Amino acid sequence: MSASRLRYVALSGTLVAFVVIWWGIALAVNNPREIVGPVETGTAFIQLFTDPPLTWLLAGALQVTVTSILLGFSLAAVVGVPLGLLMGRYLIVDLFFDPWVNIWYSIPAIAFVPLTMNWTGVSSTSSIAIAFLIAVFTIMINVYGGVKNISGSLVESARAYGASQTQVMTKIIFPASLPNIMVGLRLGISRAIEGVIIAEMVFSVVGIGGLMDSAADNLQLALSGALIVVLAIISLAFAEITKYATRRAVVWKESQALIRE
Amino acid sequence: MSLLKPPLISTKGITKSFPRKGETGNADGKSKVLGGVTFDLQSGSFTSIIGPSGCGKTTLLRIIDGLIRPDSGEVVFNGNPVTAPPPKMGFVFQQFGLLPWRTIQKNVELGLELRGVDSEEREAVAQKYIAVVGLKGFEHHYVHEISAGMQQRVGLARALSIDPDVLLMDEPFASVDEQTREILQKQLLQIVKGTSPPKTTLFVTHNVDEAIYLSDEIVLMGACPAKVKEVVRVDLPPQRWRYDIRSAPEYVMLWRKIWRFLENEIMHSEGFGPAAPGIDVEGNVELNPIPNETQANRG
Amino acid sequence: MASSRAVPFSLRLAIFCASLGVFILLWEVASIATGNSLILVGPVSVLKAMVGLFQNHIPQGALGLQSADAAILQTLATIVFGFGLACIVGIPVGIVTGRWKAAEAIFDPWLNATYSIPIVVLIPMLYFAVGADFFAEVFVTFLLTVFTIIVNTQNGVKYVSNALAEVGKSFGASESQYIAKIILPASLPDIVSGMRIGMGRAILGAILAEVLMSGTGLGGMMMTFQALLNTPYMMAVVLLIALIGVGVLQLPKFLERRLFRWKETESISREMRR
Repeated sequence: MSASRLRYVALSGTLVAFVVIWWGIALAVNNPREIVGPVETGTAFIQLFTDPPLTWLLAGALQVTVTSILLGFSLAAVVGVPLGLLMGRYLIVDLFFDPWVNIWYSIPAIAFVPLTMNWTGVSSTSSIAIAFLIAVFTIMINVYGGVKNISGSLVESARAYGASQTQVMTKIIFPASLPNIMVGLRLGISRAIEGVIIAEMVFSVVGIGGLMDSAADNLQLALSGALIVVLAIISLAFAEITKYATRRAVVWKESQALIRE
Repeated sequence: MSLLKPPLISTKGITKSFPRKGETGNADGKSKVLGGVTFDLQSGSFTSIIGPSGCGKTTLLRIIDGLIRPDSGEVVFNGNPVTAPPPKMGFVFQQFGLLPWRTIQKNVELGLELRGVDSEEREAVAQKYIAVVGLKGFEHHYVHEISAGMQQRVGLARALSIDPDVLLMDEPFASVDEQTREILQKQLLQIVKGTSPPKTTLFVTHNVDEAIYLSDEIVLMGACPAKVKEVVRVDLPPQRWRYDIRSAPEYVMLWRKIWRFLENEIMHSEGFGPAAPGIDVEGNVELNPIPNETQANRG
Repeated sequence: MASSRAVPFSLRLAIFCASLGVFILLWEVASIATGNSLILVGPVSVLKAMVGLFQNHIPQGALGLQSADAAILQTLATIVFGFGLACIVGIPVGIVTGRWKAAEAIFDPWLNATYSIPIVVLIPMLYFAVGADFFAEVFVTFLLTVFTIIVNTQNGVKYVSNALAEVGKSFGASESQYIAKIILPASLPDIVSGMRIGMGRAILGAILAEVLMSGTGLGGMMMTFQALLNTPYMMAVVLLIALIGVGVLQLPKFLERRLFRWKETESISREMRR
């Protein structure tokens, strides 16, 4: 059996196994307050799209969550990529920011939540802030690494041809570090999604995360499960888009990290 | 070739194909690198294998060591077919293959360690061979702390430490600079010829000078799919490091012959197109001595 | 990140202290400027609150709250147990999936899923399934950490260079010898790197579990003060969590530096993969 067929079989096999085991456990436990099986979850999922009040709720929450993710991530990218480039290129910038990146990066995302709650309240703005805070450092670090990996001779030859600092940055540094930038963005988006979900779960009133949390609080576990599936689909969609963007952006470099997924 | 003893290693009709590089997925386009290689290696002989780059020499060596399975044909070593790396074959790698997390001492001990030799004996044997390759005093250094030439000597010590019947060397000096390479060649000869009987060695190279300098016999392999085109004897004195070998007429003749062979193979296989002026269609270049007038003009 | 070859430690320390000073100053100024002690509280108040915490002054309305020591201990215990379990399970699994293609094919869909879908999303559901006691929190921490460790271990094992594999083979190494003497040492840097990143995840997992499930430990304490609108104390706990985060992560970094002296290049000691 060829490699790709084996993967396909393994994928479907494990999915089926997962659903069956889930079903079995739900049956065995037989307590809808503790665990809900795939059938009920599936039904709830369908209801999300067929039951008007639910659909309306879903649409609103979806909009909030997706925009939070996009905004948080975009902000992180807009700030993180240039900063990472500058840190990689200029030692002064590196020395200044380095300990801070170290520190902020080590703080778990959740610790930012009550802080933002104070500043921007229990709203999607807070979710965006948290997503930004978590994603920006991941992006910065990866971009930094990419710049550091650039062969000195590339920069040297550009300077020999009279390139200015700006030109070196835009024509050499940026394109050469693109693979690492893309990896950073890929990781950044998944961290941004995670940040938004965490924030929404704690706030419990906005977005899909909030909806899911309230549903769980109301012991509507099937609905909660269905919303988890919705979140999973959103995340997968984002992941696929970034993967696609990565492939398009970095045609010239074949890298293990990029190919892995 | 002596008919009194059976050869130490005997290869018969080895073929091997690899999927063509650049084509992913289905390997319909296979490129055949070895097209039926047959030759014998006599015990005590230093034999080089030379041929155009990229045509299976390294693959052949790995097949002989049992690291790769051939598509067809077989290798017989000491009367037994080779299916896995035999304990009595020692391999020296082009990229050294040293374990960076181990000291030199521990690296040389690797072969013995894998064979279950106890630590005291291991240490003693390893130290002996570290001294043989001239690295005494470097036992506790790490790989990145020593030069490329020294690293390859460690590789050699490691291969020697298991007391193999034959040494297989895969372009071992290709990753080393020219000056170091000459010194290493001399050292290698002294080591393998210094034992009695001399250490049987199978040496892959694409460097003509190296092949002639080191070998008793040279196997000339053609372009892909490679076959043995000719086996040449090298009639130069055994302790070559003592003499100005490269001026000997025998050396010059051999060099011309082998180089002409290689050039031919390369030109034909790489499609170099119409011959440049001064080179005939077959790619033969007449190498003549420098005419006297020019020598006088140079004064 | 700045290469320690090029820049002396004293200079870096000096710059750090300087920027730290600037940061604290700005913080104090900002807190005075906003005036509203709900939104932002200056460093002085936070420090006072920290001291209060450790002296077990129970602020108004927080009767019955854990003592600071108990909370710290609980959180640390959750982190350590969750992380430890994740290593015990994750490293062997990573070795197996890195070494054998069949195992990799089976595990890969799950690993890819965790790359794409944040596991944190399962926490509220897990609360109903497993409760909110210590073991539940450890389980959540474990779940969040284990995949990172598996992925990094798998990567390290998978990409052990071909050259080393050949060396092992040509010297006749058995499977167990090959794994013990070649694969493990060669992939150790990646395994430790995975542990470093996993530690960050474990901290996140523990606090998250406390916030969303049990309401105890440092995470719970933080949210309690938040609910009581006691900003100084809340920020004190946040600071504590931050300190634990930074502190705990120094161990793997230290390990990396000591263990891998044989590596010629300075490891870019930060995450390149999650």
